[in-house]
Formats: sequence, C-alpha cells, structure tokens
Amino acid sequence: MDAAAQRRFREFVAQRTPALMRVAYLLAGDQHAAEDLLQTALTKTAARWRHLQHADPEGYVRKVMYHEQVSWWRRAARRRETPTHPVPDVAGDDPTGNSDLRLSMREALQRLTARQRATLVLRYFEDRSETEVAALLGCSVGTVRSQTYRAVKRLRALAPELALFT
Amino acid sequence: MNPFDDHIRVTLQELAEEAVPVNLADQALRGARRRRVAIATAGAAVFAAVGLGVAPLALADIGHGTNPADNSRPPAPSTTEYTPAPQVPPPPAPSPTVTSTVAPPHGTTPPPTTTPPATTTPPPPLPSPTVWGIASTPPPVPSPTR
Repeated sequence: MDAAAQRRFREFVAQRTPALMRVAYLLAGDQHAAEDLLQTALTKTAARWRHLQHADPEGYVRKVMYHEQVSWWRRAARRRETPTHPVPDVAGDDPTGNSDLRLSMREALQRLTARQRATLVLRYFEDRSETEVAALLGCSVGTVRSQTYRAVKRLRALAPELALFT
Repeated sequence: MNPFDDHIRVTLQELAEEAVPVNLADQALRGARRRRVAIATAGAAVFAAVGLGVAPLALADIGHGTNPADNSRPPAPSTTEYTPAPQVPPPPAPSPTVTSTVAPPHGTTPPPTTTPPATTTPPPPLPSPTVWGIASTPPPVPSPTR
C-alpha cells in the first residue's frame, strides 16, 4: 500500500470508527472484545484496500465483523480465554431504574448465541430489513425470522423485568 | 410496533453509547503487513517443501534413462543366462533301486534307475551289465573265412 492509500485508509478509519465501534461493542459484548473484533475487520480491509477504497469499505468492514462474530474459529479461539478473577466493578442500585434494565439487557445479550445477537443488532440497532440481514449473514430470510423470534423469546426468558414492556 | 421491540431498540442504542472509540488504523496497517508477510512465508515454505519432495524423484527418474516408458516395463526374463542345473554332476546319491540288493533274473535287462530324466546333466553312469554276468552284446561270430 502506497503512502496516499495509507492516508486515505487512516482518514476512513478516523471518520467511521465511532459508528463501527458501536456495532462491534454490541456484537462482542465488551470493550476489549469489540476492539479485537474491529481490528480484525480493519486488518482484512487494509489488505484489500486497493480494491475497496473506491467501493464501499464501511460495508465491507461491517460484513467482516458480522461474519467474524459468527465464525466458529473465532469463537473457538476466544473460548480459550478464561477469566480467572471476578469483575472488580459491581453494579449497585440505580435510583432511576434505567441502568438496571440496561444491565439486565446486556447480560441477556451475552447469553444469546452469536448469530442471534448479530441478528438482533442488525434488525433493531441498524434497522435492516430481513432481506438485508439475510444477505449480510449469508443465510435465508426464513433463518433470519426464526433467529429473531428465538432471540426475542430468549431475552424475555433471561430478563423477566423486560417483560413489563410488553 | 411491539413495545418490547421498541425497548430492545432503545436499550441497544444506550448500550452502544458505552463503546469507547479507539483509532485502530495503525494496528490494522501493521496487522495487514504482518498478514501479507506470513502468507508469503507460508507460500514459500510450501513451495520449498514440494520442491524438496519432488526433485529427488525427478532426478532419480532422469538417472534411469531418457525414455520413461522403457523404465516402466519390467525386465524380460533371460533364457540364455539361466542355468537350471549346475554343470557339475551331483554326487551320486544312493539310488533306492532294487538292483543293489536283488539280482534280476537271468535274461532280463536291469530296471532303469529312478533318476529324473528332465535334468540336462548326464545321468550317473549306470553299472555295467557285466556286473550281473550277462553280456549285453552277442558274442563275436567267427568269420566264415576261417
């Protein structure tokens, strides 16, 4: 990659990192895993930057992130990272109640499968249609519908306090 | 729209705001360079391994001859060099014939020995018929001139 292409790549990353990091954070579940996921996607994008810089690099980064998230190899690699100590910060009571719900939702999202979480993020955060989600994840529309249905059903079961909104 | 779906949407947006943006351009560029070097190294290693594996076979094939079709054919059996039996006659084994123990009756020829006739070596010398006191040739006829 020449100097001009590197400069354009840096500009693209600096401009689109906040939006991409939000998606990575929702997909991965925590900050470190999100940075790891986004860096993997950007590395693959940089390797193909010559062909992508005049096309849709952000779409490519998002697609790589979704595919990496549901990749069996990546999940197997991350499964080897076993936490040996409990998380030091423990959430306390929130007078507003809003943070409690958010924490419950975060914990419930963590317990979904990677494909269910990716489907939820695409459908509810990015407001993609079922056809677009199917194309991005490389599956059928029926699979997207069933994954969405199961993910919502599991969220209701894992976080009963969210059922107050039904 | 289902209120539960709205709640999922709002909660996801709130969760996404917790993400801290980090500029990963330098790490991505370094990773892409490392990835390119790793792929090139792996390709060279595979090429070298295949070359080291194939080259001795190719050299051995060239060393056997220029026409590989001739090398693939099995050698024809040589009939001139093969000697089924040694030229030296085998030691005379004691023949399990009855001639050594039982004398044949007068006027009969001794029975043949049991040596196999297929061998090219000359059969061991048979005992002379004179042993049994029988002349195999008739006695000389006196010349009529006498």
